Amino acid sequence: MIKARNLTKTFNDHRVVNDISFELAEGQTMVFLGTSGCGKTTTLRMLNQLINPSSGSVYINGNDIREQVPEQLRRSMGYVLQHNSLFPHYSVLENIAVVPQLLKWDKRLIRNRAIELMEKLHLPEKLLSAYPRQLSGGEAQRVNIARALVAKPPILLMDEPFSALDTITRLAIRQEFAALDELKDKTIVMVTHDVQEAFEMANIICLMDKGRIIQQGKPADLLFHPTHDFVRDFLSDSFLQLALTVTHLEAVWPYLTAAVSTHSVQINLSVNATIAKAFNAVKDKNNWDAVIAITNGTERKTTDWAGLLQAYAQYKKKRL
Amino acid sequence: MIESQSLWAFIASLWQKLLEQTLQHLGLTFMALIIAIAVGLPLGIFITKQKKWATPILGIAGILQTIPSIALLGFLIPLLGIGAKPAITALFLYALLPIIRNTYTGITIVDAEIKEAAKGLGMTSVQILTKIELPLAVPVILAGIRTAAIINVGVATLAAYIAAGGLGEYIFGGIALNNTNMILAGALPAALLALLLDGFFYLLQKIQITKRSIYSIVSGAIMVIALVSFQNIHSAEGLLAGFEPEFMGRQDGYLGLKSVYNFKMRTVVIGDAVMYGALNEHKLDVIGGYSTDGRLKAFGLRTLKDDKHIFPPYYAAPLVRTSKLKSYLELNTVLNLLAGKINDSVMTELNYKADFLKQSPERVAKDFLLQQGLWKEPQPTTAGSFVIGSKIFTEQYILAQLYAMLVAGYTHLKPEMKTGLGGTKICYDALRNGNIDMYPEYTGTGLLVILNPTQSVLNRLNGNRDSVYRYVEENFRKTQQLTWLKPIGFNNTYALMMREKDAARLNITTISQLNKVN
Repeated sequence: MIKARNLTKTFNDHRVVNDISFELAEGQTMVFLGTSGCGKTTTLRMLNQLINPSSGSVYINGNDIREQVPEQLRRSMGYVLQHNSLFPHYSVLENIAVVPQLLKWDKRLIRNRAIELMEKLHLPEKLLSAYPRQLSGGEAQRVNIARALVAKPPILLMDEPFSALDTITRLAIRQEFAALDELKDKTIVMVTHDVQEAFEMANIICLMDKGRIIQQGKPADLLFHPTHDFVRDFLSDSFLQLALTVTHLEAVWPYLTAAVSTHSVQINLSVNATIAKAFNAVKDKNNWDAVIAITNGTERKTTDWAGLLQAYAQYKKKRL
Repeated sequence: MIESQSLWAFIASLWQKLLEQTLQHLGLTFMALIIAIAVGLPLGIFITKQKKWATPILGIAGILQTIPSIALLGFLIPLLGIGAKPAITALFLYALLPIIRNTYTGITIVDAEIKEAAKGLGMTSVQILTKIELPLAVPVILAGIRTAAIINVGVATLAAYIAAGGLGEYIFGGIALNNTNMILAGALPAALLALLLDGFFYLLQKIQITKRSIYSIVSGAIMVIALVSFQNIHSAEGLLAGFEPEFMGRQDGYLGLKSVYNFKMRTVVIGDAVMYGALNEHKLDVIGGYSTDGRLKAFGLRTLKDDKHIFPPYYAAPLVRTSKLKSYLELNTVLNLLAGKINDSVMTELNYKADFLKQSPERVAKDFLLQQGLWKEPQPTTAGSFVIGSKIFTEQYILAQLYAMLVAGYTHLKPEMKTGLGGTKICYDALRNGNIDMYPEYTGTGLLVILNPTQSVLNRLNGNRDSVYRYVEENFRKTQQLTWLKPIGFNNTYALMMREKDAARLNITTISQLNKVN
């Protein structure tokens, strides 16, 4: 769906982005991860022609984007920035309506679509007439996402969409976002400096440093098969957490011993969930005795957090 | 002195004229403002898009701002003549900088993230400008317009100097005539206007900018501005007279013309510095000028005979602080050296040399003293200073130079010059307060502007040269501690003047005849 070939961007003789190539299939999420100044935002902005590459090309569905009128191209891609990018003199509805109006949608249709999105993003409908300065950070960012999604673009570009939020709000919105049905089949390119965020959301991570992609691949590949010391060092700080994030219950399924007795608090998960998600669920219940029930097709196993950790240890031992 | 009227009674008696002037004032201000917005806003937008032009354009607008307003009006007269056109042009030039600068700043400080988002959502650059940048810049732009409006209300008072009307007519008339009520009658409405405009734009600025309110704010502002802009357009036929503010308010001036001659000609108020030029360039047909002015000769003007005697004699003489004369006894003799030496034609000749041959007043003065055998090299100064003042026209500059040279040559005092004081009241107050020690004054002015005697006294004096001098000399000595020295000789009276050609064609030699032609 999106293909970039040998992208290079030079500002004042400084190569901000240095000869990078990547490819992304429809429905996948690619995350550019790196410290500030590594060139990840510049890369993102070359995808919707906010920045023109010094050399190299971007193809969308096989067509060079330079053949398209930039404004037309941008209207076909959702774009989410940090939350203070809402237009302060526009109400929430007017903010959401920006792209549909540019596309000359019918007024009524715009309003209905806005109401639909407000509901999906857990925003009260009465906020439609509010102004950005009256919103909390979390609300503003939800509106921001609604503004990007309203015209149902097949591609969504996100530049540090959650980083201006406090930790608790950030986690909540991220989870809501991941669960959003609007995102099914969307091709998403996201930029972040938050390792945990990248691992939770990405199908493919491009870890960047000094304008180059150091390694690109599935999160688990980066974690368990780093190709450079840089990648290993970059991820080492939160290794365990990341490992649990990329390991699905399916992987530890054979090592789970069905043992735990019933308890009043029970968590139901499928084997597609990650271990990290199971732990988060326990944390959310705020009860460390909670029972975790996992279904795998017709089979069902119960365990608790300690049992899960044991199974992971055995899985890990077998793999090495 | 007659202080019979209170300020409010004075204003009440003039309210119609005041209202007209206030509207004129607003008209000038707003007309200039509209043009400045029409030019400044696009320029401001332009330099946000072409940054390399920002410095030169803001620089030029800034330089225009620093030109003194009187000087700017002076530059514009040869180009645009007199009246509303040069006044509006000057106001427009002053209003440019705040409008360009605030448009530029307002757009520049719009959050980069917001512009980025607008672009990223697919807005074209025109849409970003009109939907995002300009609306968000409105409060800052309004602040610029507010500044410009207030500058303009202030500067527009000077429009009175070039026959564009406005509240300056009373302000300058009042200053010239030593009439505080008159000054306030112009100054209070001007100040009030400034405050009202300030408040109006302040309220506009306070309105929260939203997509909807933006249109009402902008259209509201434009409506109000447009409503008052077109107050100033009047056209009329026939001869046009131009009188300076002081003349307008004097009994031996416009008031006398009206009451004694029943003068009905269309009249504008104009500064005396530009009055002669305007007559010469056919912008005016009649002016009230000074009978010894050098430009009479230069421009070929005819003075009309004052056949009903409303202009009393104006014999020039040094007016000196009595205390100074007592401390330096030799001063009396020295300052009287010129007495009787300069008659009307000599004074006109001296003025002509300065005004038309562009010789400096110093050179004119020195040449005259050399020719009269009165010139002496300056002596070493050991006895303190002697401050000589003058009003703001050529003759006074020359006289002040003459006295300075005499004081330097004949005494050990150090002459200091404070020339170009704008009118009788300023000179007189400066003399009374000891800021200056002497200035050349005219007996008629001393009589009518400062002493302001009753009609019966005036009748008794009957415009006689010697009796007026005696009356003035005695009264100043007794009540003001100021001394009139001997008259210099010439009589610089007010006179109505026309272009010689026109006067000949219309066969006019007296004011009564002029009044009939009109």
